[in-house]
Amino acid sequence: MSGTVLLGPGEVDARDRIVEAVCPRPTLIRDITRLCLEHFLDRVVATAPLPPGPRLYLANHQTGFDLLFLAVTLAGLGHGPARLLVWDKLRLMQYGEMLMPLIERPDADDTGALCGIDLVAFDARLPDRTRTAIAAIAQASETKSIVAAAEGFLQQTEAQPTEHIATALLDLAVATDLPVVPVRIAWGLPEHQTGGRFCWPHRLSPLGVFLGPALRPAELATLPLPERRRRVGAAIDALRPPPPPGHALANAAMLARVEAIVARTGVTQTKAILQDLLLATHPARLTDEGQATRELLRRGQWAPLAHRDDWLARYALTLSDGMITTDLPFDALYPQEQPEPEVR
Amino acid sequence: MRQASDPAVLALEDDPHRASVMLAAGGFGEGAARDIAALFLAATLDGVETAAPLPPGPKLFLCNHQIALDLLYLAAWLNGPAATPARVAAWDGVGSAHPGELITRLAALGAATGALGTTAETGLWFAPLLFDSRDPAGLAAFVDRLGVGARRGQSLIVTAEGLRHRADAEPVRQVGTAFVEAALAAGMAVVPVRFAWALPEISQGHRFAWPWRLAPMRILLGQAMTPDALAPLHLAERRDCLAGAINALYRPPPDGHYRRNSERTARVARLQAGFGISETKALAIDLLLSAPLTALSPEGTALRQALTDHQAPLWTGPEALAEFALYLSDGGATLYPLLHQLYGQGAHSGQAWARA
Repeated sequence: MSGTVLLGPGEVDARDRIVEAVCPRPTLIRDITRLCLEHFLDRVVATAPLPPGPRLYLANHQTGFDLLFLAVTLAGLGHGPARLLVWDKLRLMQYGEMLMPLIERPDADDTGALCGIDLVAFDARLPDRTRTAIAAIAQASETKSIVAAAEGFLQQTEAQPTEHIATALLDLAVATDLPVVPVRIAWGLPEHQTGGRFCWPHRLSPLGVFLGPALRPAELATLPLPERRRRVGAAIDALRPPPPPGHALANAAMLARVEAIVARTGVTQTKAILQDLLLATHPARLTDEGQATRELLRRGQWAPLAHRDDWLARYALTLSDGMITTDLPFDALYPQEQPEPEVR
Repeated sequence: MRQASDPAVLALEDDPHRASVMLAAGGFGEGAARDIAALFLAATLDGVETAAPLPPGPKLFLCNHQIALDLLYLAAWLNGPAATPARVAAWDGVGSAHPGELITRLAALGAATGALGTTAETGLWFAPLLFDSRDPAGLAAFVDRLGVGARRGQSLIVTAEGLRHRADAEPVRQVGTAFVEAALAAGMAVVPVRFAWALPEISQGHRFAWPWRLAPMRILLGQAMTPDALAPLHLAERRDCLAGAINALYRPPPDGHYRRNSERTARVARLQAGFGISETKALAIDLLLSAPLTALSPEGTALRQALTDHQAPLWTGPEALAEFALYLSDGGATLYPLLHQLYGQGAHSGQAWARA
């Protein structure tokens, strides 16, 4: 699919710059964000120039973190701050359990743990509260873009059409005169229904993110609601390029390790993935906090965390599931430490 | 050892003993939290045997360690059917592990939706007394408080070694002396306890959160050792004596034991693989969906319906129950197709029955 590649496959330096812009403090969230972008985001492509000013990005939703990856990339590339609309029960899910404490870290400074990205939570059980949340973000739309899942739920197959677009989001675009940028998250789901949804990409294959030509709010306003939904859904679904060759096996080794961790410890897939990301990375590439957390995972050693703030110690303990990781066969899973990274 | 016909033995699979199960789970209140606790006990605890009547007064239960919640299972039996107030001592990371998280959430659910079973002496027995293993001074202070608990008539349940074993017959090799010395100083008898049958005969190379192949665990309690008998021994002799008493209680499981829950094991593995959820959540979902409706309270029935029907009335019902359902289903919604496959047509209407 032609267009401007905002972030290309294998561009490690570009990912580093994005993460350092969004996570200016060298804390654990910087390590986790960078490692996630390296492993689970293949590319971000804009098929048309993005309109100036704040926008409403309406995306399909394939995996738990996909919209966060999008918001981080856009903010890190200088496309302005963004508000990410999330469900207020997110923390009850396995990825929210590990994500939300990172973002809501109590000692984060005024810019927040993720600089330029606000999470706005809404209660999906109560429509009134959803509208209230959307009204609140509308007030900020003069200065900030909004990133939201068009349908609100995770799709289950790669080709699943985006049909059930939330009326409130379309109303928001019209009421605030925000151009709607259709976004297709791709390559993260299986071809056929498996019976489950995916917090992480199927086979851990990296995602492709494709941004389509913006839809003008004035144009949407003239359409009746069903047509308005169809128009936005069609714009999202039109962005569906096939994955590159070998894509399904891109993270095959990691998948095998994660499955081994889950089988041995019974932890969630999310914890196993985050554990693996840290364990498979050379300590020299991690922040001090990342190194200390890795030591707890690898050797059960509290020492590097003993004088840290309690938040980090608690988070590391949760990530290790009560230090159950110390029982893993490290020599088999990680046969040799990676060499020191080259100094760039 | 007493046999299953003896009233002192808790044989959890027998229907006549269901009252004992519910009593053991009673600390979690009257509703869904108790339902789940009872289902876990009935499915993964084979029973409890006592070599001799427990002596009166506070005691130190000194145990080997097989699975994450084995000490808590003993606490359930002691505080329930055995009417012996007792708490578990655990390090403060226990709540970070997935079984510990379930207990924390069950406690919150029980507190929010019904009266929790407490006694004036012990408070909430299922809430472990936590110590910080990173802080030696804190541990010393914790052990000092053991005497205070004893004066209140409260027994304490501890692991002899701290770490979980990897194989069923693995012997206790070390006995931590801090709790034993404090118990003797407080005049408490020491009861050796052997958890058995929850681990494979041959080590698989790692520890287990729940029983291997979900084979139900048996708890074997030995004869209490009085302070008078232990105090004259040198420290090393005392350690050997206590480790030997725990190890002597072991006996191998009956033939076919590890196949008893093979169908449930397969379903739980499928749920884990399908949703990436923890083994604990998968087991809790399976227990709820495969239980006969008669085993559930109205609240437990509502919880089960919420797992299989996103239009269930629960979503506009009590917040605590809805939150627990969301926690258990890892956010809900898209769980349904796989549950439908595993538990049949009824899963969508809240009338689920396991095919097993």
